[in-house]
Amino acid sequence: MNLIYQIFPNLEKLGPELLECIWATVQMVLISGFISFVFGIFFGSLLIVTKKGGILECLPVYTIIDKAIDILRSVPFIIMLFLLIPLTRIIMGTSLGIEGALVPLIFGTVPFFSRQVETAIAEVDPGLVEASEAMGLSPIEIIFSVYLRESIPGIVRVSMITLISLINLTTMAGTVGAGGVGDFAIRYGYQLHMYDMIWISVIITLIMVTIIQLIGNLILRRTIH
Amino acid sequence: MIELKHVTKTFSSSGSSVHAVKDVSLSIADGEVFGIIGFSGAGKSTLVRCINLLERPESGEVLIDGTDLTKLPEKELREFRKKIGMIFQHFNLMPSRTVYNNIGFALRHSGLSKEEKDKKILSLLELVDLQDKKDAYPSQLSGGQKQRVAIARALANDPRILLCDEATSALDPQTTKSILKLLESVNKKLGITMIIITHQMEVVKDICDKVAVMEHGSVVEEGETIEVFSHPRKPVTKSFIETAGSIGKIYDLIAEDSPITRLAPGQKMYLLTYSTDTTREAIISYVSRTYDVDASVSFGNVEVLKDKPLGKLVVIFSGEEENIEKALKYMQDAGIETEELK
Ligand SMILES: Nc1ncnc2c1ncn2[C@@H]1O[C@H](COP(=O)(O)OP(=O)(O)O)[C@@H](O)[C@H]1O
Ligand SMILES: [Mg+2]
Repeated sequence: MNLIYQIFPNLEKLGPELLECIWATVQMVLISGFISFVFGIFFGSLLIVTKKGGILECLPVYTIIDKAIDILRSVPFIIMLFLLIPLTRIIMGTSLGIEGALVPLIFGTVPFFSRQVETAIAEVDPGLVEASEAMGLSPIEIIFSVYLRESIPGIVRVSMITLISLINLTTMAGTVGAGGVGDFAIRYGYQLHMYDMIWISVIITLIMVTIIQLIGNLILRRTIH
Repeated sequence: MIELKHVTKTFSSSGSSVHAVKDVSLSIADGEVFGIIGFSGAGKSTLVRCINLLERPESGEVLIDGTDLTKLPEKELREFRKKIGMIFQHFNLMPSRTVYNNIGFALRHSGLSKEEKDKKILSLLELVDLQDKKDAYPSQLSGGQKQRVAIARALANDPRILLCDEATSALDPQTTKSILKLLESVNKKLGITMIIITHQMEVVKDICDKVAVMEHGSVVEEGETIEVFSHPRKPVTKSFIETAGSIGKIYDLIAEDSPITRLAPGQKMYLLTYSTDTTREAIISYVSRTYDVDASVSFGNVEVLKDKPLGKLVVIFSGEEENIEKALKYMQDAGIETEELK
């Protein structure tokens, strides 16, 4: 412990606050990650089945989602954060703190993740869908038992990428007072020149990324045959 | 009984349209092994996909035991499809599931209990001779084994019909034989009607009772396999027969003016095709004696079409022209097809 305090002299004083910030980041990543996952899977699947030649072909639906994703993806997150303030107030009752950050985080993640899910599902061999249709499966069964089930490895991969980029977004969310590790690094490291606090933030982020990758690889190993 | 009546399917994309199937009418009896042969792009896959309505024809009727599938609502159509098994060129097994679960997947709505399903899957595995691969994943199987799993899966719901779209086209000749044997035994044992799509003459030759030849979206010739291939009327049918045996080479040899095709004055070269069990030696030696012509066989080939022989001989006749004419007339009357080659 003493050695750690020697390397990071400000940790002794700021340790409890850092822990709070880590917890804030974890909360933001997990909550917005989970919600974005559900929406992303939904929109990604919807894109696949409604596109031309899809099992529920419906070009108006496809075009609307497709364009909405392109537009949302082109808005820089930092701008989205402020653009969405009125909407966040309506949904969450406040635009500050972790609650205030969730809505923009989800809006910033879902379009990106939906597109990634679409790409992962598109890798599924169309022959499997043909065989399932010939077996008399309904479209909804095909979505779950074929498209999603067979693209689990692909979806796990893109989920890892998305979660990691979500950590990145949470650092910006600090600007609406959501706290988190990024906010901690800026406040103490940059503004108060405690460079050791920047380094410790970097290390903590690295650990989080590593944990995500470890879990992802573990799932991959169990699902690829 | 499967009846297709005036089935037509057109694909249109960006202005141009492809008439994949043009006004096809076919009738396939219960328990029959029915081949549909044609070169790539002839419309075979589209036609077979019209039978279980994976492809919806824009006009025509698809009657199975009297029910017009094109008139069924989606839900009933899906129910109906469970009674029509289908296998594919690339097997289409689910990579994330074991052999056991791939077959079990087809049984998800069968209403069977867990034990009954288990029994059913094991008996299917026995039928296709893959009991030991129960827990393997498709990626661990050879092509032939994958097709066996696909056959087991297709048979899971006790279908009355099995559609096979190029089921052996991705397999080596030996494995092809073993899969054809399996299909034949399934047909005999379970009495399942089979529709076999292929571009391989050997497949039709080995197991099909009847055959339809497709070209440019139309069925151009149709009938008992032995009839169609012993009396081919269309060039496309003839070219399939040529792919099967070495006899087709004679045309190339003639074109190249190979020494074995060179004739002396007064000689004529004919291709004789016979399908009955009339022994050719007797007929040839008979005409040779009776009409005073010499006949020498320079090329020969006997195919066996689902247990019936189909013989082809290239014979050079020499003698008086008038006598050769008479000899040919005699053979034609005896049911032998004669084609002047040179
Ligand atoms: N989904 C499709 N869209 C457009 N054209 C198609 C489609 N499916 C098949 N075709 C066309 O229809 C014709 C017949 O194809 P197909 O039935 O696959 O032939 P085969 O199985 O005899 O090789 C081909 O010209 C092919 O390009
Ligand atoms: Mg085909």
